[in-house]
This record gives sequence, structure tokens and C-alpha cells, in this order.
Amino acid sequence: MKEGIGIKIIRFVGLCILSILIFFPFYWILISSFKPEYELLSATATFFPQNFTLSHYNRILFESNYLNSMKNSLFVAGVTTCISTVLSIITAYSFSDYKYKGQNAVEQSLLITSMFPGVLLMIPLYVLMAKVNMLNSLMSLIIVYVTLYTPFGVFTLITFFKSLPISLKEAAYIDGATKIKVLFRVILPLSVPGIVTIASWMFIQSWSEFVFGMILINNPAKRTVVVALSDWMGEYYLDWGALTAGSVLVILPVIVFFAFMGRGFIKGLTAGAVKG
Amino acid sequence: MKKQISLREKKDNFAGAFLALPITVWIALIVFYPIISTVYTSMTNQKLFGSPYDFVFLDTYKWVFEQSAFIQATINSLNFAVTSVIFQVIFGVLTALLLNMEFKGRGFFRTWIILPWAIPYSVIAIIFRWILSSTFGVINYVLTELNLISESINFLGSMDFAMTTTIAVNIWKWFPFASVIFLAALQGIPSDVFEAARIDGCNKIQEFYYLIIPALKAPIAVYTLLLTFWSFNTFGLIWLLTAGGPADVTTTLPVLVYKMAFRQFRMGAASALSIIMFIILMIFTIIYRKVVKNTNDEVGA
Repeated sequence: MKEGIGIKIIRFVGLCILSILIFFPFYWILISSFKPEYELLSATATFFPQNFTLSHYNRILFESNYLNSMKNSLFVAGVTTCISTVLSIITAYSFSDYKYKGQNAVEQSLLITSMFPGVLLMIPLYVLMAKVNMLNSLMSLIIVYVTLYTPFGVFTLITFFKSLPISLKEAAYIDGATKIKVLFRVILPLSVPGIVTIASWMFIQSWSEFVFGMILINNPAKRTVVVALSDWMGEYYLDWGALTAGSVLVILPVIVFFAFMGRGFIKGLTAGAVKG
Repeated sequence: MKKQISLREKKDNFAGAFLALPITVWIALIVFYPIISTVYTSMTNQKLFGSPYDFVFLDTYKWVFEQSAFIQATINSLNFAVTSVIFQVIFGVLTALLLNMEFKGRGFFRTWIILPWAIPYSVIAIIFRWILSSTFGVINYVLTELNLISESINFLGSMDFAMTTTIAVNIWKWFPFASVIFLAALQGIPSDVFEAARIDGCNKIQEFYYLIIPALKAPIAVYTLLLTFWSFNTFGLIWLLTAGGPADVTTTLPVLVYKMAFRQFRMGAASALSIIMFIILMIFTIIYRKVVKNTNDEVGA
């Protein structure tokens, strides 16, 4: 059954609308970041930059603590991802291949943590960090992010581990392997896609996280880049060149990531999701 | 028959519990302990953090309920969440249907439309504040050039438009995520089912009704709950776009919690409000589960 021309037109229009809706905002800040000040603020908007300048990038990279904030973000996101991934692996393994008392309780706790609105933790975590004198330290962010993002990793990996054929594990046991050896020799190598998916998700989330970054850290030198950006939005709210340039740089890692891993990431994300 | 546990199994079980220990301890410290301490604070009248307070039991709750700001914030939250989710799901389904078709470049769209979801809130705020700016924004420029409006619309700064605009941005961020999930569900329908339907003489409308809707029922049910949860709890997006203004029209419950704690310095009240929010969400989840269960039972899903 060939497609009628009507369907083709609807589809074309639909895709156009979708493209504009989704991609235009990104295109707009990209070109805005290269437009000189006078063109940005001129009365007529230009859809292609008439003039090209790198001055905004120059300014934020070399005349502010933007690079410093990026370092903070990288540190926090990197460490969070490592710790969280390891925790997810061992916890998921404890669910997929072991039985022990209290297993249900742990599962419920993980569920509650994942469903618990971040907002409600705003106050308690601020108070907690204040009490142990960890406000303004990047470690406080790492601790919080690991807590927030590990449950997702655990649940995703449980599905993954359980789907691996039992025969492989049996074969290893027969050969005298302990459960830990099985984890390293059999399960991990086969779960690389799943692990990559959750590690990526955790990195993106902790890179982008704003609320706790703002609440737990006040010292501008220690803020992560997303919070630093929002600070400037308040202070330099007319400096759109710097703001758009800063935004482009923040999004860059995400875009690069999607260029390489996008397909696999989407697959991993939806694999467990559809089964509910 | 008494179940005999071998020594090896006992060792195994211990090892399993041991593996799960780190995360359990972590959660107990970082989630449960703070929550309990919040419940305690909510029953005090503490103002500035660290300052002395009295234990007043439920008086703080009474105070919170009596605030007109609370009622307004609840209405705003409901408005924000419900409106957002309705359109996130509708646009999500439409996009999923669109991307389910076969066409060149399909792979590109399927990978990249989720971009809004992957972008940090502060960047989204900058993007839309810039695009929607009443002085320099491109949207106002285009609308004026096309003679659709005579003067710039203050999207984020006027009391009439702020809420709608914020909701629109929220929809923009999440509908691609929804569409990716729904698309995966549609892709899950085996192609031979479509073949069989075509052989039986199904037209497009019947195909839609008997094949597509059942496949989407479950994900829609599950994700409507999640999306509502997430929208209800959204703080960052609203705070960055409008800081709850102007004149509190976009102050939802999360924003109110933040304002109470960090602007008005009423820790006790903010804690109480947090607990109230938690209870509202619990009730909503229970009701929702009941409704969804009934629908599923009817369909025999």
C-alpha cells in the first residue's frame, strides 16, 4: 500500500513544525553568541549573523571565573558518575543474584528515594549540610547527587542483569567461580551497554543539576557552571552576548555526547521504560 | 518440609546483604534522617536557621494553611502541573506517531528531539528569556513584523502571560521525552500484526483504534503520573524564568517553600509546607493508582 500524497504533506509539515520548535531555540543562541553587541541589541533581528565576533567567548573564558565553574562542574559530575555507577552495579547485583533478609526493605527505600520530590529535600539537606559544616564544599553536592541518581541506575541494571542468560552464570559456577568472579568475568562485560547508559544519564543529570547547586554552595568560586550562569543572568542581564556564549559552552558536552552516543542512549533509556 | 539452608547459601545471603549495604546506609543518612529532622522542624516555629525556637506542635501548620499565599500557590501548582502534563502527553503522542512513520532522516529525529530534556534549566531559562524578551526578543520582533501584534508582549514579566509562558516552556522541555517513550511503545508493536490487519482489510482509522491506542495505554498511564509528579515538583525552571513573579502569579508550592526558607527565613513554616506537599503527592499517587488500575482491569490489559 503506497503512501498517499496527503500523508506525505502532513508528515512534511509536521516535521517542519517539530524542527522549528525544537531546534530553532538552539540555533538562535548559537548565532547570538557570535553577534557583536550592537547587532544583538539592534531593533531588527537578523537570522544570519551579519557580523561575526568571538569577543563574548573571549570575555567569559578569560575574564571571568567561568572556566573555574566548568572545572567545578566536571569534578562534581565526574566523581558522582563514578561513585554512583559502582554503587548501582553492586546494589543491582545484590538484587538480581542474591536473596537475603531485608531485600524488600532496601527496594522500597530505593523506590521512595527515586520518587521523592527533590524540592522536599531542599530544606532537610541544607540543614544537614549546615550541621556538618559542609556547606560550600563540592563534596556536599557529590553526596547529594549520588543519592538522587543511584536508584535509577540500580533499577535499570537490575533489569539488565536479570535478562542475561542464566546458562552463562551456571557454566561459571560449575567451573568453580565465586559470585564475585562471576560478576566481573561474566556479567559486567555483557552489561556494558546498560552501564554506559546509566553512567551517561548520571553525568548529564549531575552536570545540569541546579537547585542543590544553588542552595548548598554560596561561594562563587565553588559554584558549578549552571548555577554560575544563572547568577550572571541576574547580575549582567543585559549582557546577552556573554550569556548566550556561556550557554553554548555548557551545552557543548551534551551535544557532543549525543552525536556519539545518542542512539545507544535512547535505546537504553527506553528499553526498561516501556515495560513499565 | 523444613527448608534447609546450606552454609554456602548462608554465606551467599550475607554477601548479598553486604553488597546492598553501602547504598542503604547512604540513603538512611542522606534521605531518611533529613526527612525526619524536617518533620521535627515543621513542628517548631524556627525562623532563621540555627536560631532558637520553641516546639509548637501543629501551630505552624495552622499558620501555613491560613496564608493566602499558600492557597494561591496550591492553585498555581495544580494549574501548572495539570496543564503542562496534558499538553506534554498530547504533543508527545502526536510526535511519536509522526516519528513512527518511515521516512528519510527518521534516525536523526529520533536521536535528537530529546535535546530539550537534556539541557540544564539555567540554559533553558537564558534561551527563552532571550527569545521572549519584550525589548530584544526575536518572537516579539517576528510577531510585530507580521503585524500580528501592535506592541511587544511581555511574556515573562506581565501578570497575564507569565504563567502561560512558563507552562509553555515546561511543555517544550518535556514533550520530546514523552514522545521518545511513546515511540518506543509503538515500535514494540510487531510489524506482522500490521500485516495481518492490512490483509484483513483494516483501514487507517481502524488500525489506529485497535492497534495503536492499546499499545499506548500503558505507557501513557505510567508516564502521566511521572510527568505530573515532576511538573508539580518543578522549582528550577520557574525560579529561573520568573522567580515566582510577577506579583506571585507563578509562585507554585515548591517556589513558595524556597521563598519561605531562604527569603523570609521561616524554617519552621517552610518545613511544614514541605511535609504538606509530600502528603498531597502521596494522596495523589494513591488516587491515581486506583484510577489506573480500574481502567486496566476494564481493558483486561
